Amino acid sequence: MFALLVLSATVRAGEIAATVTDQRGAPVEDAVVYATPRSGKAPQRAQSALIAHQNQQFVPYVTAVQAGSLINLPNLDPVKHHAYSISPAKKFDLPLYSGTPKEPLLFDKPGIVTIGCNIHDWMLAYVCVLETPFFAVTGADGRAQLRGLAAGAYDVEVWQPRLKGEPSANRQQIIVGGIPAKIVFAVDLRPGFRPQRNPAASNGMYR
Amino acid sequence: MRSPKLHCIMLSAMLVFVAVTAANADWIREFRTEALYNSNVSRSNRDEDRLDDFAFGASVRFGKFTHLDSADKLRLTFALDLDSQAFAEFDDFNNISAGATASLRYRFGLGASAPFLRVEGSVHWADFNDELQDGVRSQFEVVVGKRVVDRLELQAGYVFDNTDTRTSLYDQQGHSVFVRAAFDVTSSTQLTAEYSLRRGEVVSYNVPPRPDLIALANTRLEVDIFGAPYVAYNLDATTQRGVFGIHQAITRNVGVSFRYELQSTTRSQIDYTSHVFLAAIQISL
Repeated sequence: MFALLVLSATVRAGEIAATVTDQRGAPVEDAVVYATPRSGKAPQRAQSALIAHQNQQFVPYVTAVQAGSLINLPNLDPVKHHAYSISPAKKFDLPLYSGTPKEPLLFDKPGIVTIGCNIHDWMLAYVCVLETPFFAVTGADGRAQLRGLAAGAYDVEVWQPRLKGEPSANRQQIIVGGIPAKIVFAVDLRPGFRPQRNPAASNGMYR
Repeated sequence: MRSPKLHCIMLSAMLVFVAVTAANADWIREFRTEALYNSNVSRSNRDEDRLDDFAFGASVRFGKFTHLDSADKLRLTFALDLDSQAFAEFDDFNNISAGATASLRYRFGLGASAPFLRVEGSVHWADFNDELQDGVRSQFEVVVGKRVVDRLELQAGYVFDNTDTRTSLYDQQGHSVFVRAAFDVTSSTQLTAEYSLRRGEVVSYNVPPRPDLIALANTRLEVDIFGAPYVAYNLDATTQRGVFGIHQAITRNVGVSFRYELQSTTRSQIDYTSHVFLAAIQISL
């Protein structure tokens, strides 16, 4: 009860506290919750983000940005990496490099961008490029906090790499105003499959 | 290291190794230990001659892979291998081998889903308790593969193998074709299946008299491997193998594998079958 009271007190006007669970009620991590003004006019607040190569994984696994944002992919590992995407929303190829690329990449087209490493096939990351600046990514507890929203009506959707169907299938409408806004999504996910380094893999990891 | 030819091969391999330790290279450091049971270690075709055994093995692989072009379409992998195997009962099969493996892979595009062509060669010197089996084992392999969906990779290929020993009995050559499938059940669990067909020489041990085998054998020799009067026959035969495995990642550096292998070898009216069960722990740093 005390926790609920604290949570309610911290959800101020202009914020949405979202919770995402799967079909069994378990919290869903790495889900992007985003709110689009029903007026159709989202402010432009494009920023920059980083997706690091760290311990032969991309960190973070899921990144959300508004279209027009810049993302750099620093390599923090002692080995070289080769980041690429063949997704229609952003195609790029950064052959074999160490350190931080001089120029960040511009993500200017809304959509889902899948990033891989051509050296380490198990490395995978997703960028959710959105038209709206109001978004947040859920943590391990399935919760995310969207901040800085102007008062008004919003369509709220959720996307996750394992989501079955389109985000619009889970769309909810919400009014953000003087009272705390809470929203709960129960989404259908495909069975989990996130490639990882497998030393026992039959075909070897580097052949 | 008793063969001058082998010294040349190893020296050449070392030079290649030095060449590939240039920029763009990543280290391969793999350790493996395994236990296996073979239901027919004597590869006999009669029930009464058939002998089974357990074996324990350990191997170390140390090498590098390097990208020959900036887009990593062409990758050269080179590794030095050290393997050992000890049998619980029939210790004449105990062996230690050392050698090198080199492979060149071309990937037709970007990412894990791009099809690839790999050419691989390996040369190993094997030292057995039974000195007659000592010799050079070499293998050449061509593989094509493609990850057809996120979780499934298919491969097909051809293998030429050659074993050159102190006696013509254990000299063997073979040509194989194979198909393999690897299915990622979860992020950390992989199932594999393989079928291969090999035509070439095999060595089968049987208790004499076996006039049927004498008529077919390229060469034969009495051996004292099993503590009983067996004769080893070198035969041209066809071997079919079916392999099923499960490979589980425990951490990002440690994995375990369990494998079942059915081998069936046929020549004219003579055939023998082996069932091999294997458990292995692999460490990759």
